[in-house]
Amino acid sequence: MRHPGVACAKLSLLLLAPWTVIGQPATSKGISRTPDGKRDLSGVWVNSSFRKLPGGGLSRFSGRNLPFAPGGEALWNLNLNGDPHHDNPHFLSPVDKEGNFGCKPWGFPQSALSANAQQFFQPPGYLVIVYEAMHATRMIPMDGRSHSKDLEPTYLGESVGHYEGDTAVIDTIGLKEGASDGSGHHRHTEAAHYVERYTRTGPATMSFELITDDPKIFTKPWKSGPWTMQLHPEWTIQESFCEDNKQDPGVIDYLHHVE
Amino acid sequence: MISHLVASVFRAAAVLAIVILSSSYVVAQSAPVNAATAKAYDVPRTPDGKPDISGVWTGPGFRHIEGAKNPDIPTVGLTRFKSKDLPFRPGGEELWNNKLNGDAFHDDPTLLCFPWGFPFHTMVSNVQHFFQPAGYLVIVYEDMHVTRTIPMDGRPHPQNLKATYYGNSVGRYEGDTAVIDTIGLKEWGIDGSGNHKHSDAAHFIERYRRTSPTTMSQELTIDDPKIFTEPFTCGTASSHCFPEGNRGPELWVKHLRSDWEVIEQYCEDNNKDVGLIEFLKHPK
Repeated sequence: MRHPGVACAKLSLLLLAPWTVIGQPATSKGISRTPDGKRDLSGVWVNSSFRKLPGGGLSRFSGRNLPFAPGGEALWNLNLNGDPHHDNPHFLSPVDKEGNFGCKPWGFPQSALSANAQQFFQPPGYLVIVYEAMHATRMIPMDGRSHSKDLEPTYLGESVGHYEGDTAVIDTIGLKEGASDGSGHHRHTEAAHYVERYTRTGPATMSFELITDDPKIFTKPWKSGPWTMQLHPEWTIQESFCEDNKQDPGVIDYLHHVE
Repeated sequence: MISHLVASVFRAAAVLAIVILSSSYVVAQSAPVNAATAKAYDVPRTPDGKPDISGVWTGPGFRHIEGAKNPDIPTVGLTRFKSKDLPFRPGGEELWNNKLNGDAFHDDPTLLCFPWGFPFHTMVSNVQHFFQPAGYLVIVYEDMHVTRTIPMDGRPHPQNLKATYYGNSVGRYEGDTAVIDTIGLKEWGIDGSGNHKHSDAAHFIERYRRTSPTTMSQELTIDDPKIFTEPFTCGTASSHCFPEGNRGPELWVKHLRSDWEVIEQYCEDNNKDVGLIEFLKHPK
């Protein structure tokens, strides 16, 4: 004879299952924890800008209704001048006699906003994010430490993080002046300070918020998102080298010749 | 955290990065790792019971010289292989030895920021950060900021691989040793300024084993049936792969640098490589 408790458990599972679909409020059902008790954020994820043919653009910022400081809008918008090393430094372009290459790194936050896949790993004490686009990797200590002093500005900056409940919070400073969103042609300054918040919201979803705080451009911090990232356990990060890129429809296939 | 100074990148000569250490750092390079020492070391374990090989490790070719003005010298070139006296098959030597013609695209495309590829990248002196998240070994290589993500659950390779610069790597642990198997590689350079190449049939096996609190042995088995009649192993315990006088086995010992971190390095940015500058003056 079937135990009535078993029958009830099965019925509960059927009723519960539809509530774990994408976009539903956070629930512990179907979301595991790491061995050290953190919410499991690991896996291969894509941003909401991903479409079947990956195309950026949907991860660009708008210039509307942002809290610009006087002169800030001029720093925010990249004025194109026709020189690929200025307008599109991240694409393949001929190396010039001074040794200026194309294929410059996307940096942060552009890498995090990319439509390409990104794989999250949670080794003890760290969040390691491997970005397929331009093969960038961030290794973020998650022990709540402070930023280093006297940082030399870099493309990815310095990121430190901690967990607030089930949310991974990452704080980034120390950035070179650079692009904030690629094809949107928007910039950030060296004073930029970003805060990311990643929260698992379901078995295959994670919310992503980005707070932009750039006092040379804006009068106050402002928030983007939350966007919904999708988990793709059937995917692996593909090899991607800008110098040998014949797959990006937006890239003109220059040869490496000197102009 | 001790800060780093990043020097220019040289392809034909040595020095990739020079770091100033505190004087309390113990020199480990001069002490050869022998079987007795290695056997006695009780390798610590990760939370899931695997041998702990995590941390920031120097790559092969890295030397620490006591008393020198800059005591930490990453030395490229000393990890190069021999050009002769390897188990070549007929015609294999011609495939192994890259005949230079003066064109950087042919001779050394890494000069133009093409990837170093596998296994060359594992032989570079710059530091490498090993992470061991559940089920994986993730290795972040400082030079050219490349990351390998290696599943360590013993799975087989996928079928119908598309050839890539870093191939497809799968791994497992055998006792204290991480064993990584790689296939699916493009034909490419294998040791930079050594000017040797592997074919697209190459199959490599890496073995990493912690031999002391601050050292790890590194071995590479080369199995390339288009070039060689049989597999052979190079690394910490092997001297027959390297030119005479080359300190290959000693230089393949990896050293743990808990006070270091991988720093940002991009070939495309501020590239002062003398070989590149020369090429740009006289492009072919």
